[in-house]
Amino acid sequence: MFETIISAFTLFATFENAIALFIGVVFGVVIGAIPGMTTPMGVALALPFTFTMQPVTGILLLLGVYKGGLYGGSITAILINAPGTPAASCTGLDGYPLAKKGEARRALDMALYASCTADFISNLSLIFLAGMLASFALKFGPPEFFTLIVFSLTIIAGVSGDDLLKGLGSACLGLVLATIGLDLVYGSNRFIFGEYQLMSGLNFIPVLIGLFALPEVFNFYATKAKGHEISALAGLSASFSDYTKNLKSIIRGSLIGVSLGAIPGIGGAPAAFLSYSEAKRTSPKGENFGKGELEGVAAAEAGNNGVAGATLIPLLALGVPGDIITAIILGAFMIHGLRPGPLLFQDNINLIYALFMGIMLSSAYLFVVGKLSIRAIAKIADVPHRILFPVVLVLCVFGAYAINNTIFDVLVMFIMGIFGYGMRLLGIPAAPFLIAFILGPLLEDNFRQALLLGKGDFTIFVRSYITWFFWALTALTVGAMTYQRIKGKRNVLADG
Amino acid sequence: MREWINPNTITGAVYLALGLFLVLVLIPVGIDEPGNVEFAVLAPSYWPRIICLVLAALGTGMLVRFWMNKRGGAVDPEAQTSPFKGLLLWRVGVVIGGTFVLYYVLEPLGFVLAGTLALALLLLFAGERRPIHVALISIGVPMLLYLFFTKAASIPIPAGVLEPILL
Repeated sequence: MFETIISAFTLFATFENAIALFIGVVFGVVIGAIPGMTTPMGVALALPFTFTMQPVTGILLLLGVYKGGLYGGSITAILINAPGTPAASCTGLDGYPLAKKGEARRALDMALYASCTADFISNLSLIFLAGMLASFALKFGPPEFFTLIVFSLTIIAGVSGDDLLKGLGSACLGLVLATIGLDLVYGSNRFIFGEYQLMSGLNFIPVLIGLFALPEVFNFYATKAKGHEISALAGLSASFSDYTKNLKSIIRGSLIGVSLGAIPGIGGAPAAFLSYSEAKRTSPKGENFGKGELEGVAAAEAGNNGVAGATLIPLLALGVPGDIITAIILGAFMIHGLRPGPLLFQDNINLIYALFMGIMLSSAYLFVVGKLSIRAIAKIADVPHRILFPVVLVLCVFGAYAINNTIFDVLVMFIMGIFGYGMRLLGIPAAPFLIAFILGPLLEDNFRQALLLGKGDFTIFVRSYITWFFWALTALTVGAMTYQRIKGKRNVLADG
Repeated sequence: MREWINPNTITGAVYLALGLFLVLVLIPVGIDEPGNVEFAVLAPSYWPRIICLVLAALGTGMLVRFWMNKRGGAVDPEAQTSPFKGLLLWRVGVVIGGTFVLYYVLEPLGFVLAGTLALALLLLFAGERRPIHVALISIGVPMLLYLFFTKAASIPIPAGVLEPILL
């Protein structure tokens, strides 16, 4: 064992590995911070550079991009409300209101601290729990996924604001929009109306940018007099006490991220929303969530980044990629003649340990790169609004196009912008719409796949102890939220 | 009658109308139902129909709630406020109209030229009056974005009429 670790350290401790990982993290943060550039796109762009590298160096470069991208996605979500990834949109729920209050830097700092902590915990879980979690994750079938997503959706009640009916309606609109495209089971057209570009459904990023960033631009023009002045938004950094106060939510979010990340196909968004939901439910400042609560940023980022190391668990332990990024990393393994899975642990254990060492170093790099980037990027918040918002609009146009190289996505973004502004005027919360739109396809696909397995019998949804576990959690959460709402109304009546 | 025009009732009416429109018109027209559906719950229209019915029910609920509050004399604070109060909506209209013009000229003019023109107009409309700032930002930002996406990220961005110069 000791010899293996020494051998792995020799394999890892090279100048090339250290530099490749660092460059990967920097590249990932930059890519994640640009609307329109996604982390999978960044990892794919970096892949050709790994062909001539040693296997460990190449894979570490890709892992660096992956980890940097997860954090980078939160930067624009906080600063200009244009999330770079679906998961980062959860960070924006509180991050952007904080930036508007002049606490952009504090929010960015907290996002970074939560990201690094969650990343570290996720890496540890990868190292120590890979085998165990991978075998548990394999027990998840469509009914289990469905109940898990239902549980994740309970957050809608929490982010609906004062009017639950409005919030639920907003979620329904998100679910309807998520049904556009080819039907999964029969391959039938749904709401395509001859537009072939709708066959694969609406792309997340133009919808997110349209729904969140453009209404801010429109609102700036509608209330020009107020938004005209220069505002020193960058503000102060997050303190150590900010970090310790939110540590509970960060650790809980990290564990949620680890648990969901180990399940192939789930990804960062449900983890971020679930972590956010749990933090909101348990926090004494729960009513401030969505209005600029630092704990909301911490919880969302912890959930999102907790996934990072854990998604490598099924990849390394079973050779099963959990998402697009790990599928690309699997490709990198195969290019170098390696096949992740149990055999890799037998034949190339020193390579696995070398990767683990690199992964641990990536958390430290993320912290350094994040801190340096915040100093530079937080200056964006000091740009006068009369310059910032027009630039944001043009940036959104380039970003929306770059996703799929199609002008259609720009149109989708503009339409969603108008839709989002209409929602804003009517006081319809955008968060339930967003959550439902992101989780909707997962929910419906697993619902129908489960019923297909169960031959139309709904008892499939209570077939295993995992489904029962999630139904119980859902019932408990809904019950607790209902109780809190009733209690809140009674308090208002008693006060007034 | 005027008290019925407020954000909550408008939202309720929109939910109801949209839910019914989807169930009665868009779902039958926009979803192709295969002939070999084994179980009704697996039909492609089953899931959207359920959601739309819930949407319509939520809209109805919002309208009924307002009507009951009104009958009971309960004051709905939102009923007193117009969602459009204090907003310069004509300015939003101009910007939205402008975005659609931008959409149509993006490919023929190219992202750099269209972005430059759009940015210059948006900056002026936002109140930026320093000509050097307007010129530098409106030329520099689209150019930098173009160079980043095409050269650094290898993502082709239409150059339009500037193609001979930019490529």
